[in-house]
Amino acid sequence: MAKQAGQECLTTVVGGISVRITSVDTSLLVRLIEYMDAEEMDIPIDVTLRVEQVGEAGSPEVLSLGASFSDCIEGENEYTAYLNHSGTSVLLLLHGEYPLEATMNCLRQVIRRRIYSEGGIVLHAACIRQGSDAYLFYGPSGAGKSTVCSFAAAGHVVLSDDLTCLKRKAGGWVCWGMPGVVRNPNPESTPVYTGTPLKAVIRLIQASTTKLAPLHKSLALASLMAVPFEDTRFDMGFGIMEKVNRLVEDVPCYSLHFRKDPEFWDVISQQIGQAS
Amino acid sequence: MTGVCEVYQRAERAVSRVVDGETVIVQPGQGMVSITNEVGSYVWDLLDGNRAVPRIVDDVCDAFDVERPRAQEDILAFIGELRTHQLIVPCATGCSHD
Repeated sequence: MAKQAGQECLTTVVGGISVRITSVDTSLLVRLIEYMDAEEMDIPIDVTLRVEQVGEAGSPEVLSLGASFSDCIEGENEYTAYLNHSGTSVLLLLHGEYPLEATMNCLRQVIRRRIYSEGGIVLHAACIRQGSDAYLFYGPSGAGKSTVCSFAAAGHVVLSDDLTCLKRKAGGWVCWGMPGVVRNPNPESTPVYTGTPLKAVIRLIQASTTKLAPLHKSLALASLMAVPFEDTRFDMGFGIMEKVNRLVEDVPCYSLHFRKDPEFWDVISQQIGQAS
Repeated sequence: MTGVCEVYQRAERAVSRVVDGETVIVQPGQGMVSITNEVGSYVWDLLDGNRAVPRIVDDVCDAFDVERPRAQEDILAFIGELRTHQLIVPCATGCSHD
């Protein structure tokens, strides 16, 4: 943990966005470091997030603190976050009894907004890195995202089990998980915060046998658009259908019928992993 | 049941996009999806709240080589599917729009 302007701070990178979190509450920062497995990083900061424990949502004190900011995220009764116009400075006011959870929820919202403003998207999908490539797994609730993650073995890094950030880069797509999700990080491989190239988009269908087949782009677009979004109205404002369409145009899409065993990884490796 | 004389319009949040000659119609995040061909795409564009079904059938018969009874049957089935998926909403009844 470092110090900035007399306050303790930590730095984390998500979706290629570096966030410095400052607070006088050292115990909160320690818990955030543990939760996010954050490291000390000496890098340029994209977003500063200052955390304070203040009053109640909508109170005069809270409203006055946010007067100079241009945007606001209401976290029900748990927090109020004020953002400057560019989203580079965030004042997070915690009101509830769960500062860690509220800070993480706010951080996800701030990251999501930045990802969208930078032309990226955030999808309800699991993302697993195998070697230097990432595979995106999606489907309706119960399709098997968690099951796929549970079968992550040696050589696999679970970047996300729920929300995956994606950005277009050099004709392809690069992906990250949200903070606090990465499992099985391999210290000898490329750090996950630098982003992982997306190799394939895979629609999950639980079945009695395992089978991988190319997925028509129209069906890939339709099924990706059908999965829940964090905030549909907000996401639509950023032309999400255009972006998802670009994703399915750029990245091979597949349909994976799979049963609950790790055999599907062999199928993926044989049919996709070696097809470069 | 989809009535012949009803007037429909696209649901507020429904969006569409043409991919490889097919039109994907979706309520984002709601699991409500329809994928349709060129004729369906044409019908989708006509569901603007100003045309009753008979008028849409007329327009389709003018634009495509299809017999009217078959066109009406297919269009009613398509509209029924769109309604089931909440991709369109009825906005009036009656054939006064014709």
